[in-house]
Order: sequence, then C-alpha cells, then structure tokens
Amino acid sequence: VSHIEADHGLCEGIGMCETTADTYFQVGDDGFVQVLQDSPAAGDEKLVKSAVEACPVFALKLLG
Amino acid sequence: MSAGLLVVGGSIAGVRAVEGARSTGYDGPITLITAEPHLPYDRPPLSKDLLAIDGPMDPPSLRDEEAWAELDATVRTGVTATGLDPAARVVHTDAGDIRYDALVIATGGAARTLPGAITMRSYADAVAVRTALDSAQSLLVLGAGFIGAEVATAARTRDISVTVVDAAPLPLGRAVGPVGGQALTDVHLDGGVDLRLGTSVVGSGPDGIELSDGTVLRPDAVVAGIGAIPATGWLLGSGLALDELCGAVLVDTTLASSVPGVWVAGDAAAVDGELGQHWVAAADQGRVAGINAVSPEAQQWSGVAFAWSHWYGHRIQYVGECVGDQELLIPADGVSGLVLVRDGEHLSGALAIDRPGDAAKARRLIASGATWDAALEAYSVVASSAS
Repeated sequence: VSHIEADHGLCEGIGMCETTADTYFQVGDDGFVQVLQDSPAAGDEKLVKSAVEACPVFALKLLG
Repeated sequence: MSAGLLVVGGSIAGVRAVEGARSTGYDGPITLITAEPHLPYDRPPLSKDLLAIDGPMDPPSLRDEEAWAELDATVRTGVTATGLDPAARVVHTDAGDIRYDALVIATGGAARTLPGAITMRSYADAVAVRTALDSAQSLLVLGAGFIGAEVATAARTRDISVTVVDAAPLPLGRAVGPVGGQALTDVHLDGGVDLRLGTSVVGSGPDGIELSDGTVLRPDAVVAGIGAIPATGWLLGSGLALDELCGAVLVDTTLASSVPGVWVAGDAAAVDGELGQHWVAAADQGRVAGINAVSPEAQQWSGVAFAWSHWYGHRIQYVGECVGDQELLIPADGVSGLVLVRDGEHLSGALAIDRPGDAAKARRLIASGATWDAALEAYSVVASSAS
C-alpha cells in the first residue's frame, strides 16, 4: 500500500491538491497542507496520484 | 489512422493538456511539440532555486521519460511551430507539417526585453542570469514585480549591490492596489536594494546607463523583469481571433478558440478577455483544454488566481483579484501583514506577506463567494475600523 507524504518545508499552501482531492488534502489555517488519509483507498490511486502531481512545488510524494 | 491530439508548447499548460486528455479515457495518439531542446520543464523554480549559489543546475523537468511512456504520448523536442491551417487541421513546423484532429495551443509568452538586458523566462535565461550573478558585484534590475524581486533576492543573497528600477509608482501596479503596492515597496526596501520607483532607463552608452532621475549607473549586469507578451506570432493570418492589443488568442471559458478543433491554455490565451499569466491558471487551463479537446462534454474553466514568491526571505502570496474598491491592511511584525481587497460586496483578493494561513483562508473565502463582512469576521476585524 502506498503512503502519502507532505513536506512542510516546501509547501506553499497553494491548494492544488485540495482542489483535486479534498478528501485527502486540506490546507490548514497554518497555511500548510494536512494529509487527511495516509494511503489512497482502493480505487482512489489515480485521484491521489494526480493530486500529488498537481503540486507546483513538489511538496507531496506518493511512496511505495 | 487518426491524427489524434497535438499539443504545441512544452510548459505546464501543455503537460496538463496531455494529462487532461488521458484522464477522460481517450486512447488515441497524442503528440507534444516543444521548441526547446529539453523535455517539458517547470518555470517557477528558474527564478528561485536555479539562481541560488548551491541550487540545482538541470532543467526542472515536469515529467520524466517513464511518465511520458505511461501517458503514451510522443514528445518532440526542438520543434518550433511556424504556422497553422485550421481548415486542413495542420500545424506547420520547422520540422515539417503535423496533422491533428484536435489541437491545444500552449505556446505561453515571450519575455519583454530591453537592449543590453538579460531576460528571465526560459531555462537558458536562468543559466545566463546565474552565470552573470556568479561574477557580478553590482546589478541593475528593471522591473519591481515578481521576476525582478526574485532576481534581486538571489543577488542580495550573494551580497551583490542591487538597484531596482520600475517606471510605475508602485510594484505590481497593474495587479495590486496602492496599499498592497506600498506593502511590497516596504519588502523591497527591507531587502536592502536601492529601489527607484517612477523611474525608467533613458539612455545607455559607454559612460553607463542613464536613469530618468539623472543617475548614471555602471552595473556589472542588467536583468529585465518587465513582463511577457503572448507567443502567438506564428498564428497571425491563421484565422484565429487574437486580442488586438496583446495578441493573446481569444477563447471562451471552455478554452475553445474562434475556429473548430483548436483550444488554447496558459499565457497564450485570453479567457473572456482576461490574461491568466500565472502558473496555477496555466496548469488548470491546460487540464481543461486537454479534456475538452478529446471529449464531447465541455468543461468550464474557472479558478481563483494564486501566485507565490519569496522576496528577500519573505513569503509573498497573491490570491484572487487584488485591485478593487477598497483595501484593508492588517499589519503583522515588521513588513509582514495581510491586505484584503473588496470588490463590491465581496472579498475579491488578498496579498499575504509571511501570512500563509491567512492566504489559505482567503482562497477558501473567495472560492466560496464570501461577502466582505463575512471575510472581516473570519479575520476577526472589527467592521467599524475597516470602513
């Protein structure tokens, strides 16, 4: 099972991930992304992958 | 065999067009051509990470070979589009004609320039600017906006003495109002540059570069960050309707142009007459154009503008439309703070300096159509002090 990782050193709070997959990502009031579920549920792999790739500053990774 | 989808342009809008088309289940051929010798790469890092002393040297590729194979798309580098015949569905290039069934134009923009100045738009530009910074002790930056500030930031990190000149009275004069412009002026000054607003270059010669305030400078290098013009010269005479002033291709909110089979995304497009000119718009327009080019059900593009930058160690975030009827500054420490912008009854934009949480909140408020009063409440501002 793959694992979603967010790097707050890179995150700019742009919110492209939230726009793509708001059940997995939300930009918090501190301006950084919060990962709401650590791994994509069955059937959501493509959605999560496209949200990860939507990040303009490469702050998201899908590992494993 | 079908000619499939052709995408012209190798930046973020072009890449997203390919991905958008594939996301619909479209399994026909896709070809992307780019004039540059590199696989499609990302532009924001060029004026940021790539200018750092110990920054990366390679083009910041958006997708590697493996990702392109997975997308089943053919990328042809070093191929420049030279003309379009929309009736025959053919793009003319310097490597011969390419047929298409559907075309997405994502040729972006070309940096405005001045004689003797280095521009900052492509990977090759970034290499030239970095090389200049490596040996310069003094730098003249033309333009106090995002590109100018980022180049000045890289130069100040190297202890280069920097003069920033802008013909407008405030930075980003067309994109932010006077309160936001003053806040950005303070960031420039805090960064230790010699900022000269309302000033232009009036001449240059062997004695140096003469400014309109009478100063003559002899900088080791000159970088221009004075905007871009849509790269649509190759479309002249094709029949596509272009904006009379800037040359961008006129498209509707489905990103369809005035002729069948042609969609446009990114800096080459004017959507309902408006230029996007930032990464988030280009990326999202690319995705929608790619979907609409291969799918019968047209999607609409709508988005809240978002631009981000780092100026002299300060985080700058620009959300929505920052020119409006009223601006309200909520100051924080030093030059940090938040400027909220009202348009009619609504919050239309926000400029955040070192306030990423407030910027995220503004993006949500604007996307949800929040009223000005609701926005003030969300930021715990007493309404009477904001009038």
